[in-house]
Amino acid sequence: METLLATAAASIAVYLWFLDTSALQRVFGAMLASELVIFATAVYVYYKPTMLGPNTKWVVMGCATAAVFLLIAVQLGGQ
Amino acid sequence: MSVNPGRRFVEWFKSRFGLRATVLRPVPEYSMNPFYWLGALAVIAFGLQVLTGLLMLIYYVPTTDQAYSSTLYIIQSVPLGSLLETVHLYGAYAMILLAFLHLFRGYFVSAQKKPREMMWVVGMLMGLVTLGFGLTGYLLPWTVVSKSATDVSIGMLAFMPAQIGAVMTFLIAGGGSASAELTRFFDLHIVVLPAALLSLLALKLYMFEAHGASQPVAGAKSEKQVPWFPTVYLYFAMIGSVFVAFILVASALFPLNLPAEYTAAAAAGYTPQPEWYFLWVYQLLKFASFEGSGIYYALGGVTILLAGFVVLPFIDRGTRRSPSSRPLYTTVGLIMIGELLAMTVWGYLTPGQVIPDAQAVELISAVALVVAGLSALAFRVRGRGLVGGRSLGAVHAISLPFTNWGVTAIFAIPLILGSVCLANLVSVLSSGVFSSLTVGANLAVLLASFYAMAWMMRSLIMAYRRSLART
Repeated sequence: METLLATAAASIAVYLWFLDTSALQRVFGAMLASELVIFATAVYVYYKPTMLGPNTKWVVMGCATAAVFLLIAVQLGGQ
Repeated sequence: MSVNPGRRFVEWFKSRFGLRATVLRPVPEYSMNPFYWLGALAVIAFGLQVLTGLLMLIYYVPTTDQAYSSTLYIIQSVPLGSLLETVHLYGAYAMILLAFLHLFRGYFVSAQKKPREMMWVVGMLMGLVTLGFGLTGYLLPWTVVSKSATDVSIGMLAFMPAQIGAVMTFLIAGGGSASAELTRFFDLHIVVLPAALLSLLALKLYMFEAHGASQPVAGAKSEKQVPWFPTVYLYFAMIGSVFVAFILVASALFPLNLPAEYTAAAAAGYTPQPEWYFLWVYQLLKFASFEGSGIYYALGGVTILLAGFVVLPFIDRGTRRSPSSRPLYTTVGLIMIGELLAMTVWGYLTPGQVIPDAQAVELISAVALVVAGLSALAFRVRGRGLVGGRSLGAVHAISLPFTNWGVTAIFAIPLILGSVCLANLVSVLSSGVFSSLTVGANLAVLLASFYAMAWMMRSLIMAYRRSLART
């Protein structure tokens, strides 16, 4: 899961680098949002600041939210 | 023994700035819950506003002939400008919404009680400043929508007592020219209000460090403390990231469409309507009785309501904190939320329409009735109160009239009768055509209803007190 998250974050960062963000600013917004959720999920996975034990529910929710935001970015990019 | 250089730097920083002794002390573990962080999220929203606002300031020109065109330039020509404007708009919405949620959450869990009375007062002032941000920032793009709505707000100042109204109008809107109005609103938005909010925030954080987070209403399961770094810091970063992510996605999905530029001709054919957070006041002012000089009563009522909220800690002085042990305050709070939502939706659906008094009384009464009924039902069904806390039924073992279905139903009869009679009275009196028989009959039923309700409420309170005495 951690590898997956790191790979996803890195691949999106590279993709962002290729984007003309000033022209595709809505895509940029959604991508940045996806990155932020991935960051929050990574914080949760690595440090679990609020939990005493592991809880996969929040990890799944974090990944799902990031994926939805990414899909929105792709959808907006296709318009 | 070698010491980690990073650790040494952190220790030096803490030592020289005195952080260890005064700020960022450990927080209780139970506060690691998003509901405890609504105020902090509002502060994040404020930070976002400052960041996006500063970037827009590079391009925005606060003059009547360039305000609109410079805003349009930001949206159309500045790299990421449309996203910037939209994030600023939605950040403002989020900040105001969070301020409302923070207020009502604090109300229901008695966050205003000893020793946090002044934190509540300062928080309320911060809420008013936040609404001030909304009011002043709305005008700045100089669109027909924003200018028309702002003119209505400024027009209301004329109904304040003469000297106060004149001074307030001069301070807020200037001598009457559009240019003076825009300059003053710009000044208020980027200098006066941020300075006020930051000062109040510093004061509130200082008091927070002194008093700490309020305990859960059901009592803390654990007194364990967690350090600010890394635990609280990471938690803050985590929920803050998710919050900002949602604002970004909303901005990406629904970018701002700037309405037409303000001109006197465009404004003539436009019905002014405020933003959603002022719709409830707007709706109130549209009631037929509050048209013209009646606006005094509406504005007076709103002022009294807000003042009541500010001084709430000095009114609600009981020691009970759980919503389930404060049925009166809980129900009143729920009714206020119900009325706020109903008035907001109603205001949105009826732009520019004058609302007949009878209709207004009927809807307000209906909302109060439904919410009060649902609240009574919740107390009846759950028995454990609305939001955790001690069990009302189990601890006190009482038979409240409200917990009895039959009595609840009987209570609804005078409530409905009273509401209908009140609506009738307002309707016939405002029409100017009425007979003494109609007025007398309605008045008699209304008074009888009030008496019946008061008697039943008295029975409720007496039963409650008796049960407390038994336990």
